[in-house]
Amino acid sequence: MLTPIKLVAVCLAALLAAPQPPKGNGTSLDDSDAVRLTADERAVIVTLSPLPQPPPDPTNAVADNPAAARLGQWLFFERGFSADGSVSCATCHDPARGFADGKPLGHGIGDSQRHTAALWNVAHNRWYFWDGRADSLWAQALQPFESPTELASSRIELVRAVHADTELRTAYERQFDPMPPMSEVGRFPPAGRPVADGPDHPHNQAWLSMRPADRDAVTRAFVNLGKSIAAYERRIVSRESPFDRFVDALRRNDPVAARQYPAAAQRGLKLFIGRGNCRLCHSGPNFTDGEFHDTLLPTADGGPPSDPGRYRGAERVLADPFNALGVYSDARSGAAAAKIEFLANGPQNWGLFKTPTLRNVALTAPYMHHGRLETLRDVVVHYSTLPNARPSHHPERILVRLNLSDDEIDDLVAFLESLTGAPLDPGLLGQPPTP
Amino acid sequence: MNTSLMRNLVHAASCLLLLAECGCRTADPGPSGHTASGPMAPRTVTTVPPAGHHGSASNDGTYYVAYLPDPDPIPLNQMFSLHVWVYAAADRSEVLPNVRLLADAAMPEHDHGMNTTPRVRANPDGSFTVEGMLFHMPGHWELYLDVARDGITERAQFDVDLH
Repeated sequence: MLTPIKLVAVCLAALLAAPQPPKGNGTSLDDSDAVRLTADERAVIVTLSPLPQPPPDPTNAVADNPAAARLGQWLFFERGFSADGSVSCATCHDPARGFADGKPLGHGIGDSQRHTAALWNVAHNRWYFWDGRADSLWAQALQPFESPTELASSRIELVRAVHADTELRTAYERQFDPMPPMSEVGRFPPAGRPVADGPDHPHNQAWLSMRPADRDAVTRAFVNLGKSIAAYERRIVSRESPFDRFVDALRRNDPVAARQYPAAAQRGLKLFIGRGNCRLCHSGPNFTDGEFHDTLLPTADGGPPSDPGRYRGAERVLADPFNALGVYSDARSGAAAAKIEFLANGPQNWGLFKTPTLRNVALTAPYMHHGRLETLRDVVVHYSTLPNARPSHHPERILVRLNLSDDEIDDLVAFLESLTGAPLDPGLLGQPPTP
Repeated sequence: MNTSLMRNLVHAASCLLLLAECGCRTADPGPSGHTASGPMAPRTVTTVPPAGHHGSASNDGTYYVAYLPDPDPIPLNQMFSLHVWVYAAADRSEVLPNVRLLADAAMPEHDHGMNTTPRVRANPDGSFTVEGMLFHMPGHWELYLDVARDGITERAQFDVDLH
């Protein structure tokens, strides 16, 4: 049956098979030093580029507000909000290191158990964190402030710090309702936050000592700061890469431009969408399905895996007061809410981790959720031979040993490197002079 | 103007409006361009399977199950809904009453299902709407539409190949 995909492929094949008018040296895409692509391969390749505009985030009323993004960018680079004044979001999400940190495990005030995820194209994500325990970029941005291993602070301290700084407070109140009167120390303790698994924690005790309306007011200001940070992070978007130029050349039937794309990367692309099956999970123009999989990574000590991954992440996102259905969301119905309404969880999700984007992947070594694969070559070798692959009692049917040759491994790495885009606008790479 | 005349005028106007509406639906316009008036035609709702539907007999042949996805065709890695109609195998003129529908899907070659739990709604016209479907990976999916009636469930299944 002539499905739409087959129709597109047939038309592309017909176009490319047609005799080419003489162009300069009169070459065609079937040149001897170019790699041949089949019609089916072309049909898949054009789904991988270009990266569209990020989808809107209706749960965040200021998601695309430039002034909120500027405030958010100022907050992102500010170390003064952390427990000892040494850690900002940029400490782990360092623009000079691809918005990651180049380390296997993150380290803020304390040690994290997971590798710092890079921020490229986070605006395109469906879920946040390796385990998807947040469903929006602003809900994600709130957690590091209160995490003991990251900024190790509390929402009362953060809101008070913004409130106490005239410039910050003015910038904040240009976008949002006035802050609560944080200087009334009777009403607002020095520090405090809800600690779900620590009812006796001093932060939790302080939090409970407040009036409910005051807790809500502080939380609302906290949420607004997170939404501002998200507005900035939405702008961390990968730009045009050599791969995108190649796909554009294919679409325009421009063999001269297409030949600028290295043959090794073309061979790697064929593997990526063919025998390698990489695109089963790394699908679409952002090279991720945004969902969760088991990649059979061996554990550090060879024992059973201890990180519950998506299983615990799904439990947490369903219970998160900052999810799309919560009172702080600006859109409690529609597509964002549907993600939560229909989310399924169960034992099949245990130990699964989120597929990351591959755009700019060459900038963010090391790799995987525990950061234990140091280079892209190590990643490809893992999928090729599954060395020490952890046996799984969930039968693994997607990953098979590819047994790639050394040349094929090099080609896949060349393809992945061709996904590195042009540098970001320098104006996004540091703290603006004013919020 | 007295109230009974007023009442009669309002009544007559209402009747004329109703007749005009029905006339538009069920009668051809006369040579003057005005619709012929006639008795009020009953409103009918079409419940035969719609054009372009995907259909299959259930596994034991009791039912014919038809669906249309929205968006159509089923997109890769984007939430979609299904509109479903359940018929007796021998009679596709009207949907069957008193049936329950359950919906699920899986990728048998990968040994996994969907990451969502869909929700089935029974519509007033006897059809069903299934929301919250998500086929997150390319490849071969099987869609399961299970019909439960009088304590017995029969499955109708469909192949969906996403590229």
